[in-house]
Amino acid sequence: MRPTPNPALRIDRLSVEFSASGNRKLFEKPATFKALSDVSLTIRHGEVLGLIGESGSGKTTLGKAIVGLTETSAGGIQVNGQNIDPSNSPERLNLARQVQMVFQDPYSSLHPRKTIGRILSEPFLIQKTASGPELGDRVDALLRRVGLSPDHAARYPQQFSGGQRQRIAIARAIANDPPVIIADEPVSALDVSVQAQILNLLDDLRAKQNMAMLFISHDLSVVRHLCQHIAVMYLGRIVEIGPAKEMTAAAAHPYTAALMSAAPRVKARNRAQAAPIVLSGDVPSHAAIPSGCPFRTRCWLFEQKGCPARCRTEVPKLATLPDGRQSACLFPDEAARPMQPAAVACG
Amino acid sequence: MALLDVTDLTVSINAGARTAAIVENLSLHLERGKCLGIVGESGSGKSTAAMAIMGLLAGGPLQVSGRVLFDGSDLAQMRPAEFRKLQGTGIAMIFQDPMSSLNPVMRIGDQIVECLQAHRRLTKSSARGRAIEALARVGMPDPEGMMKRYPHQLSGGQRQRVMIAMAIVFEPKLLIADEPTTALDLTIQAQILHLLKQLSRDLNMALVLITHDLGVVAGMADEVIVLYSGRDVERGPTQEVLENPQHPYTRGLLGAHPSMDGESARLTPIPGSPPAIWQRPSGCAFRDRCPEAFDNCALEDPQPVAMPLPAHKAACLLHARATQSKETA
Repeated sequence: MRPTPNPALRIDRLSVEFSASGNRKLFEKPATFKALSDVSLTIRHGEVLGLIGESGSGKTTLGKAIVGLTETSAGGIQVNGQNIDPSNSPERLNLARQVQMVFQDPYSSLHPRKTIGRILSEPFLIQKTASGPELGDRVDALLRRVGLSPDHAARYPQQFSGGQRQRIAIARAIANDPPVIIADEPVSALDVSVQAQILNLLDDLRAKQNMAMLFISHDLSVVRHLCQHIAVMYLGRIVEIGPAKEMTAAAAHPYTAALMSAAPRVKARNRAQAAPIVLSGDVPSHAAIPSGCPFRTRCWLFEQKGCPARCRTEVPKLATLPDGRQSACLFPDEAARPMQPAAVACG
Repeated sequence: MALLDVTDLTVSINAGARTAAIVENLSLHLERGKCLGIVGESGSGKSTAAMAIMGLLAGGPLQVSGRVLFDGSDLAQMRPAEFRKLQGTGIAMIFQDPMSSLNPVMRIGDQIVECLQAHRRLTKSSARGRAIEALARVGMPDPEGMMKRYPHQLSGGQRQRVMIAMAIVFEPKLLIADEPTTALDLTIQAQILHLLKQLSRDLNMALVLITHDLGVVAGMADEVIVLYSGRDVERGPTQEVLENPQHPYTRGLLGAHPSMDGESARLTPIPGSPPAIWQRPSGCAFRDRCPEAFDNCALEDPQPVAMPLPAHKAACLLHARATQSKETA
């Protein structure tokens, strides 16, 4: 029997704590809050996992923790079955070989005084994978891989449009063919017509090079298009994770249902099927996470069910449902759509 | 009579001997209580058009020409004092980034009161009363407590609500919203769009909604204008334009837009990127990126042609050619 291949990326109960600045006495220990609590997920080779959630939900923190830009307080990261410790500096170089990141803003993530050729030769020089005359050829090949021309190597970032810059940032990330790419809102700064070019490029990398990708985005239609699996975050926790198709068809967490319904739809036919569930209020601050289920203060299902006491007292754990996906709701079967307009106000 | 009637609005910029149009010959009509969406990519001129309508470009470096009739009166003919009064009371505007539209060192309440007193002679206490009323109207929890807060103490959605409260405090007939939800999260965007719809209905207020998001337009606007490089390339009833697009650019935008519900077919991107206003090609501005361009596209400026409904117009030579060949046949 062949052993099952290791997933490209496995995150196991990862937590990140930040200390809250604010009024405190001298020598008093600063209060901490959990920006990420017990986040676990796996991404297989040739698979894109979409990570969605609102500002402050911890999406970017998770991406940064994986590449070692943020210190973790607990949990483990495995790439291709091997443990990686981002805080251990000799291992950093190895980590950079395995996991690369593409950032949101292609205007600030490229050095303005370096030519594209110089920017793109750095990954080879740092990893010692190419040098001398071979280096130029590798850079040319890299530019071609992302749909640019080798003539572009002599230019500076400001001579390129936003879409082209994002191609350069992607080229830098894939230079040494890392098995895992973390893409943090890579198309959010781009116009629709250009965004499609980048999405197709990322999809090619996944399909042809078998790369695994964590795709962080707040744009659901983009995630639905590109990703095979989706994880939904709320206040530093994953509240639902599963195959994209099933999750868009019927959510197993009321927050997912609200997010999906709030995504603007172009076609009238699709709009009629999904009248938006308008959630009340804002995301609570990390310093004041509600007791029990963190989502209950905005939850339509909590209201619809007449404010069950369990939601106030029990912190729901991610539980596996019969169809294989996981939800952190006590009533996952009822979370797909509201039965009636929610009217009860729960204190 | 239409509430807003704009004819041949052109905004151009001079640099040395060169002149380029940021917005070219834009005409639009808007009835009371209706919503008009203006969509376009960055640099298409949608915000510039809105600022020109609002009269915010007067006295600046840009040349504005064309006629803007609001409620029957020509804005260019108005005395400055009259026009100042209209801005804010008859027409109001909200912007994309509520943080930079609010004064960071002034309490919310004081800002709304200041705005009220700038337009009407009101006592401080009656102005406060109206400010609280306006905050309640836009769905702010605890409007009285909110008066004492500073902008940094509010979330993005709450700040946008404050901006909307300020804009609607005089019950304007027209609200121009420039990317009002672009900086907001999805669930907050849904709240703000819902609020704008509700206010527009309750106050019979017309809405000009400027956005790059076709999905937002689809859910909000009765009519839509698609701008490309400062020109109106297609317009018509929203549903008609989105379901049956006639201009290759609109078709391209829709093909490049991932769908929430369909199977994930490969996206069809529009090649290249929009031209800078100084490098706009001759003839049709879209021809360099257009899959259907032919010889004449470089020679002729396409004029809007009604297709297939009279209210649905596309400025593309393909349609001009099709209509001509029909006429000669």
